[in-house]
Amino acid sequence: MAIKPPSELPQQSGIVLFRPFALCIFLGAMLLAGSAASLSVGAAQISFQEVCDWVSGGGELTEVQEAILGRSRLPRLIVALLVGANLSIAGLLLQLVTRNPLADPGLIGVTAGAGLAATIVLALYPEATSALPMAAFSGALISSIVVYGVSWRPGAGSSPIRMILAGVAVNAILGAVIGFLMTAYSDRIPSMMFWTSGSFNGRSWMHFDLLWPYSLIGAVGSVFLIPRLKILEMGEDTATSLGINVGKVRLFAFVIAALLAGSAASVAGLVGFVGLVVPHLVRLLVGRSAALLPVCAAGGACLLVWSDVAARAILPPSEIAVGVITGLLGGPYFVYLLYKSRWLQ
Amino acid sequence: MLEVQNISVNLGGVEVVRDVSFQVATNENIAIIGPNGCGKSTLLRCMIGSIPAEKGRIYFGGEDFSGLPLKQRAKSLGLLSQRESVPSMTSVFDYVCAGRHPYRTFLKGLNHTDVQVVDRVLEELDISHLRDRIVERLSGGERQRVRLATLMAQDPQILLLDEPMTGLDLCHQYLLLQVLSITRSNSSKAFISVMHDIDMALRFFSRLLVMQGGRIVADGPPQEVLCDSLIYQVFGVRGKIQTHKETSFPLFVCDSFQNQSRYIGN
Repeated sequence: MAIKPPSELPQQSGIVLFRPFALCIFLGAMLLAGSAASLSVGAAQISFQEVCDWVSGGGELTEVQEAILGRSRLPRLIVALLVGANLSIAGLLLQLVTRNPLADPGLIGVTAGAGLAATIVLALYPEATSALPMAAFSGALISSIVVYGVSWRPGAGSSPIRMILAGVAVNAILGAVIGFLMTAYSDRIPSMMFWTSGSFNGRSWMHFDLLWPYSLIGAVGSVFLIPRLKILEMGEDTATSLGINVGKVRLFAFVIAALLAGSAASVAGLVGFVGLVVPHLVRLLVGRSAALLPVCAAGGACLLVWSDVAARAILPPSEIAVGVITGLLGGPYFVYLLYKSRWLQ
Repeated sequence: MLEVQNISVNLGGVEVVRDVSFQVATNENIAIIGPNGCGKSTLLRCMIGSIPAEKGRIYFGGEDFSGLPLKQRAKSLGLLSQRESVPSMTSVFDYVCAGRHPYRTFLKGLNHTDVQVVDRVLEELDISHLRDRIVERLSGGERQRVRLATLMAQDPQILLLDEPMTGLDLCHQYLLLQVLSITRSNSSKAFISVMHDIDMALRFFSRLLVMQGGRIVADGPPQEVLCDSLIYQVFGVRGKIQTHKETSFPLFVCDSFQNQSRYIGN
């Protein structure tokens, strides 16, 4: 018995997966341009030309200008890059592990958990700034597991709408407690406004030092996790059959996502929607699981750098909170996703 | 090669699999038949460790299967599950590459062998023309072949197939049987396949496990164990197994049937 299937009709080449190469060039160019703009824009006028000269080691800048670039704008830029990458990788992990396109660290209460934990530290132990990311991470982990637990039903998994509603509830509760603490300890919490809308104003090398170890751990963890989460997307049985410990991978993904989102929140406050928009767009454009992580990180970094530039450039000399910009960009996208989605009916 | 010893599985308070034991030798091809809800899928899912067994043990090559490293388990037993979901924006090639996961080490990408294996199984299952298409946008039968290809790329010693014919057109059903029999004769694999087509089970499998109410009620060569009265007892369908005159293949012809709901859960 030898079977030859009938020759198939010519198929339309249905491939729409974006060529990662073109995407990388585009993102790289946007990142470079955004970085240059971020160094150049601000209260003190420094031209593109001067920035380029300074980066290449030459140029004739005044001491004040050099100080502004080296101690204020450069760390601010790098912190924005890392926060953007952290948030979008956290969003990617959460979207993959919950199989829920609406999972965003801000929307589902992860950031609020980080915010509450950080507020408690600031209120009770104002000196312990180095403990902030750790506290934020713990808060983020607890709230993400609570939200996932509430939205999960045996057999049905985690439903997107349930998860968003649980996130609304958790956000409301945690926001109320943060508000209470801010009033009760108003003397100790000077700049707590940033929890309600994140900002990069005044971020320095100290914030960079707080942030980068978490970004590094998160990135390495994600390199391990993403191929496994992609397999988990094929179904639990298939993943188990392929030698993946489903429970461990899930838990690990939540831990890493909380680490990334919590550390980002502890230095930048609540910057919403980055973790929703970037991974969602990237997953539409990139199919290869190997390309997901770098493209996501670059996309998130890009979005936040440009948002930060816009935050400074729109209403000079005052500065808009960067969370306002990402909210303006991401909010409509969220509405569009809700409108488009089939799984809510 | 594989020994299943007194496995019982309890799902939500219901004992779905009850005290099931059997052994599988290399090169065997086994069909499991039985009415809906009799525990066939649950048994297979339990065997790969997706759901815990309440009682009993599984030995692979003499060793306790649950104690083996996960990747070694994946090289020993692989399951084509019915409970699968379709990942978003994944090309057929990438999907099937997931089958090579047990052979990869941390941070190492696909090597040359992996790509060769994947391209070979795509060719064998007649889906190489779909290589760059997105799985989400394929038809049900094409998707089923992609899943089968993933299991073939995983290349375990024993392939557990839960209703592998689902969605396949007539030609691809026979193609699949042909691919499986070639694989079996070339590399001494064994198959355990949940089947609903009695004729195919009779004709293409060398051993039959008949399940009812979570138990195995018959085990042996299909022509010997499957008789008209057993089919009536298990499925509630009266009929005759006849021999086709020209080809002498066995065929089951149904006379009458009765609602079998009285059999469920007894």
